[in-house]
Amino acid sequence: MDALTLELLNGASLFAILAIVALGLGIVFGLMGVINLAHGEFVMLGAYVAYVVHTVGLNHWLSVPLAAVVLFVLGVVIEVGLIRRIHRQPELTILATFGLSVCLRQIAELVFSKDFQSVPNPVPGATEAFGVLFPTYRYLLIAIAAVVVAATLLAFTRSRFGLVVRAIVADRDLAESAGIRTGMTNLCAFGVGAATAGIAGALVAPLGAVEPQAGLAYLPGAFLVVIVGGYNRLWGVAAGALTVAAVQTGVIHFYDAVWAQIASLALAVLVLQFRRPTPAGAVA
Amino acid sequence: MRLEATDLRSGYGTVPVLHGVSLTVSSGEIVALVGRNGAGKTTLVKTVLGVLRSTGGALHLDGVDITRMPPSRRVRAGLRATFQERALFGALTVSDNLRLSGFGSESHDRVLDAFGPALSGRGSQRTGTLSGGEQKMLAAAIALATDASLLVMDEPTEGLQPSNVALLGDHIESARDAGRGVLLIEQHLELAKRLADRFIVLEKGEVVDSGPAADPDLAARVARRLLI
Amino acid sequence: MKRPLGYGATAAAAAAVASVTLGDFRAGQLSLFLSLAVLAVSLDLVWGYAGILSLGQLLPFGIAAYTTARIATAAPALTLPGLLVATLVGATVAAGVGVAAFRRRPTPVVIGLLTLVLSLTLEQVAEQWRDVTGGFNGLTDVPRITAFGSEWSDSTQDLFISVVAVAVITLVGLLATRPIGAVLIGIRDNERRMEALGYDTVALKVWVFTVGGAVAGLAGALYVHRTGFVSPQIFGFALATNVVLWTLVGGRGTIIGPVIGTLAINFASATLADVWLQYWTLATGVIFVAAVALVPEGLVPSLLRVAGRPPRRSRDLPLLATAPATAAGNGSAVFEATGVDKSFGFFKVLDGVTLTMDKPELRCLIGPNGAGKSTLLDILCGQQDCQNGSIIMLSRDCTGLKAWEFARHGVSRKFQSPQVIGSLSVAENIAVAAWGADPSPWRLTFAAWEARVLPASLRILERTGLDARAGSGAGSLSHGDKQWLEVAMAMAAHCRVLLLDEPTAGMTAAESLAAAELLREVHTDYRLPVLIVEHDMAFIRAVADRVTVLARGSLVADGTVAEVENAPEVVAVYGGVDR
Repeated sequence: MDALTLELLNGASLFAILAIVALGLGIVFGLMGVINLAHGEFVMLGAYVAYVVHTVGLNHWLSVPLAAVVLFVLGVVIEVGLIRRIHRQPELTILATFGLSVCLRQIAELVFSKDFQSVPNPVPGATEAFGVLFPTYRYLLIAIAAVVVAATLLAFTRSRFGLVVRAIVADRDLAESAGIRTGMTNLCAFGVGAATAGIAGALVAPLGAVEPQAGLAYLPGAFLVVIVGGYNRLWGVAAGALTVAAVQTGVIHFYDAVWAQIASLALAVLVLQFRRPTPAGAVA
Repeated sequence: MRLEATDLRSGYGTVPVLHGVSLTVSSGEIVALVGRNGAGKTTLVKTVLGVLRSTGGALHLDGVDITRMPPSRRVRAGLRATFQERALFGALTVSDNLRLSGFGSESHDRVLDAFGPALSGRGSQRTGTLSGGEQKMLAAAIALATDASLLVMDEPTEGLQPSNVALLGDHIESARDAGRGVLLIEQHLELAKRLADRFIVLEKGEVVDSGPAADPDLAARVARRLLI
Repeated sequence: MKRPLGYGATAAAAAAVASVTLGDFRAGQLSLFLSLAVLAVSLDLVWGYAGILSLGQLLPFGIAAYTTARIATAAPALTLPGLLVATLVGATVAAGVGVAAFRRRPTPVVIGLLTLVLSLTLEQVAEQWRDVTGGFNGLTDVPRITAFGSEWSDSTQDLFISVVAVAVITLVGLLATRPIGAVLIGIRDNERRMEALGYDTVALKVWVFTVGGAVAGLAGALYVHRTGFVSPQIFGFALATNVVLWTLVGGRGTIIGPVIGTLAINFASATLADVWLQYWTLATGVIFVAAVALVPEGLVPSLLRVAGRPPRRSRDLPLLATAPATAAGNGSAVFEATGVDKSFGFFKVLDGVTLTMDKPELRCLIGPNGAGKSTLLDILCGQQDCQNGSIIMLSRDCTGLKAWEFARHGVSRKFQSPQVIGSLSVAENIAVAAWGADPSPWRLTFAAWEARVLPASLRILERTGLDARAGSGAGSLSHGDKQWLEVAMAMAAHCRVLLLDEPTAGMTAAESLAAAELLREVHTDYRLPVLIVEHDMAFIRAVADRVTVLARGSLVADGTVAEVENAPEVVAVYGGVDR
């Protein structure tokens, strides 16, 4: 019984991280129709922010907001410099972000080297609850992830910004015609998507190695978000991403990462067989 | 406020639809744009608002070149359009549609009551579940209630029952009387004749006829051109 | 046909000479990079020609490489047949992926991601499945090719690999100049048009993906013999990025582009990586992003364009007249659509529409916007399904058939905005339409570079002057010429009933009347039944035997133009009396 509880708690903490990552992908894809293959690299950079904060001797918790800010700025720069030119051509955006991910990994390698770095746990020790001892930091992590996801979803569903976002998702031209500056909103969306990835990176840094290749692990998630979540519906995208996160964390815990990836691939191919076909010509 | 299109050209992809349209609409006048299906009326509306990129010619609003502005900036400059199709966000509530156009919740009832009982108190309803005619009225009501000084309305009476057509006509007239300019795309010829100060006839993407609505010869020519 | 063969023979000879004279080191590099160029060309075939964005071309490449390594280690004598086995393995892998991926017509993004993730997953599988793959370190000491009783020397093998690679690239180049090449470009440019011409585009995509897989498989076999080892990284992100980069930078949709891209970047990389070690990968990433943002079509096509030449030479070809199989409407009805319902969500577009054409005639379908005219036309040629009702076309129940099945049965369609294949010449557009009569990929590969076209189509070309411009690119035609080209395409093969959606859209009034005259002529001379959706009453008066009026998803009136024009229901619909 205690072993099962522990498994569930472990699963919940991994799920919490994946949920934030998926959320950011979902915002960018759901709002802009851009599938960002460099999203995992944003997570990786967030982790390096935590590493830098640690090496200069500052408190780890400072790295969470700092990573959000740094990645927001980076996201804005990338949106203006690259995505804006091509975001209506899905094939080009996928290729551009593919290339971008190579650049970001390589920059990280040039700056920080290939070595695995570690960030010490800011809250060592364990808390006893539900009859088991479980690392306190992971409890905090679950709580923070829940807050970030809830706050972002609330922001996108309850505020005027959220309303505007949903309007743009539904019909960009009509939104423009109602006087909404969709370009500005895209900028914010890409920035917020990058910022959530940064937060995830900073949070996950003390749990594992900080290294340039760390972002690649999030790529399958990106793919599954696209297929499971369908098109241009924030909630569908979020739900799809969460389903995938659940399947992956579940299988990782009972088998291993390879089987988790195979399972989510199988899920995606299965979903693909039941999707409404896109009409011929939509491709051209 | 004066909207001026000069030799305006546009189309879809490689398909040209407007072959150089020139027209003006000024404050305090209603200009009726008529023409058969496929003449390019809707394309003109979309190009004037900027949803469709023009491929040639120029658009000026009070002398300011708006040809390359995105629609949102044109809206902020005082232009406003209602579209023939997909004029509202069907998945959002009526109130959300009002909020998107900049109406605070205190003004919602005022906008909705403008068309009598049809829309009153339906703010929380999903817009897509309104009937086609009700959606038309809502879109027109929103456009008329904004402070835009130039309105472009694409077939606002399509699908409206006769009493509401008359009511909408009254609203458009009072907008004119309040000093706003209206470009009205209308296939309902009787209404166009009642409201318009001027007529512009579009055919195959070109202006083929125009003149004051009071001219009986023009009215006869327009009627002949529009006969199915 | 002759040009690529000539180029190929020259290139193979050059590669052979280079292999012998360059010295072992350079010859080795050349054979390695040429085997990678074969991989890039396989990607070019599926992506550049057929428009399938495959980020997982390493899948057949890597699996074939592992297969080859196992075969060569276990039975060195079988290395030459092993090359064939690797080719087949590549084809099989690609066919499996193609069937799973293309059936529901996902967007390019989905296909790109699916193939990429599949490849990355295989990298992990290869790391774990140690018994077969050797785990993380992979399979090492793979023997060189053994033939005629002994293992070849490095230099012999390099010569062999270089020549085989050039030969394969030449074969793919030849394929691209065959009718199938034009058909693949058609699918890339306009899949909907190709379906309406009778092509089962999903099956053709699976076919080309399979051929691409076979080429990639052979590339994998050559590569593993050349390097002597294979590790899970063969499926990894780095190589996946690079092969796309070579193809993208060189110029997809040309065969020479990706080859130049591969050789140039790899020789640069081999030279610069020594000096620049740290920065080279970053540079490739930057080149990648810059290529996408600045020259998305690639260097070779861009340079050709700057030099004033189109990237692909539009070619003329002989269009020969062929006799129609059977005349339409011998006593039986042309078509009978009965009780057709169609809704989008809650909105009913068609409500129990029954539309029949008893004998070959020129029929116009008119009605206000939103009446459901185009939807009805779509249903009559299988572009859309209907929820209820039956469609009998030319005495056969076609309800539920796909668009390409309707087309092969003789139902031809012209779309509202002209859909032609912009990258092909006028003659090639007609030829692609004519080849739709017998669209098996093997026949399209070996058929002669000529097309047998129905006379009605040739008449249209002749009357509109398009025959004089057979070699010009269809993309640069004026709007009106494109309209006529598409009409001629619709009539080029197995056309027994013609559906036209707003053929005069974008034409001037005078052009519309000329169009009416030409359509009447073709209709009379070839007894061709025609159904036209139109708004232009002047055109309708000139062309129609009979007019059917549709409003709000129901039939309102039916009769001659004069009868319909004065019918009170029609005046009500158009005059807005009932609003």
